[in-house]
Amino acid sequence: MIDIILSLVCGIIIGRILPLKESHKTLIQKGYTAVIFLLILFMGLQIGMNKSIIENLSTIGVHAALFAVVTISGSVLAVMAIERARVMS
Amino acid sequence: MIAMIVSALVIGVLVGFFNIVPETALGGVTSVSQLLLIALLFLVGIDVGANKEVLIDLKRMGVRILALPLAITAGSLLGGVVLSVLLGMSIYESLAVASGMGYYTLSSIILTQAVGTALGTLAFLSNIFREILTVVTSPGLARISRLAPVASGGATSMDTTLPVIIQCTSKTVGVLAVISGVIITLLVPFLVSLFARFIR
Repeated sequence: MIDIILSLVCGIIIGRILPLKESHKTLIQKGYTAVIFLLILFMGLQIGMNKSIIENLSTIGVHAALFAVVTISGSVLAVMAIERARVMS
Repeated sequence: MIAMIVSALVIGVLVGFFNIVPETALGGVTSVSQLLLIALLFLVGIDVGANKEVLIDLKRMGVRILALPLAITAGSLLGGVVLSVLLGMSIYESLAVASGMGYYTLSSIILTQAVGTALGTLAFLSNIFREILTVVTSPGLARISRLAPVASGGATSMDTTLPVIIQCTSKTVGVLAVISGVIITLLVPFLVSLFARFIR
């Protein structure tokens, strides 16, 4: 957890200090996309090599759909509550 | 972006499933993933730090702006508590998955490494569903409340679901969506790894 926070904070500080040109930002976006692609590919590898997950994929899928619907509902209701309380106006 | 990510996942699963990569390579894959995750967060940090408009907007709106991402986060965590009861899951596992808030790349990677592939897969699928559902339901949600699409998008309201949100609401809500999405994006790694620590 510490390494995650440190790398994020270091990134923000460097992003603020360095005078980044648009071309640099595009490069960062590309690097970001490449790293995400590799991470997801490796995650897929770990899932594929773990046969018990493949066997339970249908159960996981139903649970995942429930998670999406219930967390969205919770967030929408909470935001409607602060709108009604006129916090955001 | 979504097409690329889903195809990367499918390729990975197929390669893993058909034993194209030897079992002994799994340890190497795990340690390379850990380094890549650190690189990813570093790049996310640079991107947020270099975005001056976001920092200026934050200053102008003051502390009140925090109410939006905090309410979205509280609502999702409350949903996590409900799901823990509904599915008979451990409260910390349920909260760790719920606090992904649509940030499927990061939350699933953190949970795969900290807990295991089963919870990582659940985080990946549920958060990707959250993004897809936001794109599909935003026109309807915008009629209920102008900030509802932002709430639904969670962390994704700063990039992937932003065009849909602006189209269904207004440019002003678009700015709020970016700020809220940035704050939630920064909260996700903290919350997910915090809850992951309590699992087991």
